[in-house]
Amino acid sequence: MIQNQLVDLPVDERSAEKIAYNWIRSTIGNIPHVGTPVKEGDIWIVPVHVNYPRIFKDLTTERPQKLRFMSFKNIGEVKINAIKGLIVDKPTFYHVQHKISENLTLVQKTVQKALVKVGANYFAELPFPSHMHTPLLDVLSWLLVNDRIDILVDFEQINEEERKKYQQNIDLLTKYGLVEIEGNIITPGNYLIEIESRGKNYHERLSKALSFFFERGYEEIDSIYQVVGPYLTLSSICYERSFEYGSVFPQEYSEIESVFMETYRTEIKRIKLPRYLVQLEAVNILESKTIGGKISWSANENLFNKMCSETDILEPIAGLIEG
Amino acid sequence: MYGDLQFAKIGISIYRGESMKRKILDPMNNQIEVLKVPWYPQQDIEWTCLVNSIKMCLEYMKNTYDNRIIRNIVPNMSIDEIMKITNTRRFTGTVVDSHLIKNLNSKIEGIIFSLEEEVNMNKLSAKIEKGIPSIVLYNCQFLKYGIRGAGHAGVIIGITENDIIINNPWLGSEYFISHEVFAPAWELEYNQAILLDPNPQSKLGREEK
Repeated sequence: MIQNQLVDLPVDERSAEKIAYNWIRSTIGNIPHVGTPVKEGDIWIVPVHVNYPRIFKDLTTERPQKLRFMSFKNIGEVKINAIKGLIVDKPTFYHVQHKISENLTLVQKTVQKALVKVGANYFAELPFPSHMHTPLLDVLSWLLVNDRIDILVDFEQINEEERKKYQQNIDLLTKYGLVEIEGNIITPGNYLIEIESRGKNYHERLSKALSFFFERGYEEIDSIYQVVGPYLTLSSICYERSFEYGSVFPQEYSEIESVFMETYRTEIKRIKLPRYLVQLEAVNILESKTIGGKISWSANENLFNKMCSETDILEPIAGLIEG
Repeated sequence: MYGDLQFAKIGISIYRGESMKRKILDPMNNQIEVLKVPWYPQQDIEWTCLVNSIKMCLEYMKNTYDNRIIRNIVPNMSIDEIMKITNTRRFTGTVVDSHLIKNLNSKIEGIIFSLEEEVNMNKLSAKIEKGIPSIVLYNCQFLKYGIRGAGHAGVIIGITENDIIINNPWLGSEYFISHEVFAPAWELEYNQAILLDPNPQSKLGREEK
């Protein structure tokens, strides 16, 4: 009887925010937060934002030095019935987690693109990794040495899957003018011919061709990763951290190792890590310093400043860093 | 036998109330007392502030708190173990609700945890007086930059007329924050705190019965 007399009270903005807040804290975690609720008809829409923290430690004192946040807006919405106060729609935990991961990857890849563009010459000087799957290097080397590839003859013994990978790389090299295709015949493109005339030996010519590709083709970051894989991962750890910090920021070996191992998760890579660092220092992409008795690694300041001036490339992540 | 007796005497003198606290200087150079809660930083993993806060409290209750029964029954727990029982997940952090408290209470002996909203400073001060730290949930980005951001946890180790002193997993140990600055950052997280009550009775034993 009494229950029949009860009426639903409309949910105000503060209550809608609290309902969404409680849902986030009890389902997703403490990192995401609520945005300002917007009412559409009988529904409150509360955006879910993430300001992802980055903590920077002073290597001398071992104490936190600076705290910054990367802002990922609108990664989901909690919809609340404005009369009954019930949640009618919400993102899943995995959606929110995936969105954070996606945004962190966007930051990483964008920094990598800018770094590869300004550091093309430096990366091209790295030793060509023989163990990696590098159809791009194979195609360029073949053309420099043998002048032409006849797909029907030269790719005959290669299985379908491998042939597809080679074809994708040939298409990429064609896009940037390094090779030309006519029917089944692939020949050096105008830029490769020009590069050939400037190189003293094959190694130098290949380096210059790669440098050209990195500089022009930085958007093809996944293909570039196939060539310089761990070197790109490692250098971008240092350059991304500095980008987030706002200037060159030295990092301890253990910190670099921890991020590096999150990417590779194989013990064999842990053993190779010091060698990669040494090689990156040899081509001036990274610098080592001793701070507070410990060895630290950091970005090359000139290269970092050049990278930061690539505003067009960095535009997608320019407004993300707060604080 | 004599050795044991001597040890007991030393134990009594070490574990009086004042041994739970230490004197430090506040920003105005006044001497104040804070609880001797160890600080656990979390600079490499950004989403484990609550895990690190729980770790700090456990270490303190295990090693410094002045009740030997409590010290004996509070478990040694690693960061990984705490992450597991708090259901802390990559990027999103720790779910903060009644299930978290239920898990803490069923897995950690010697302490009863409770999650409360609209907690005031008097309540936290009373805890400090008894030598018990509390975990506060507040908005650290708002505190630092005036922008609403992630919910953050820290351990209250001291309260004075002007400041609260927090062991902050992001910002450092014995971190002073004035009440005026802390209040709005805490309010954004509905003045929540995880309160600790020492509990000499074995919870697991009780459940078994």
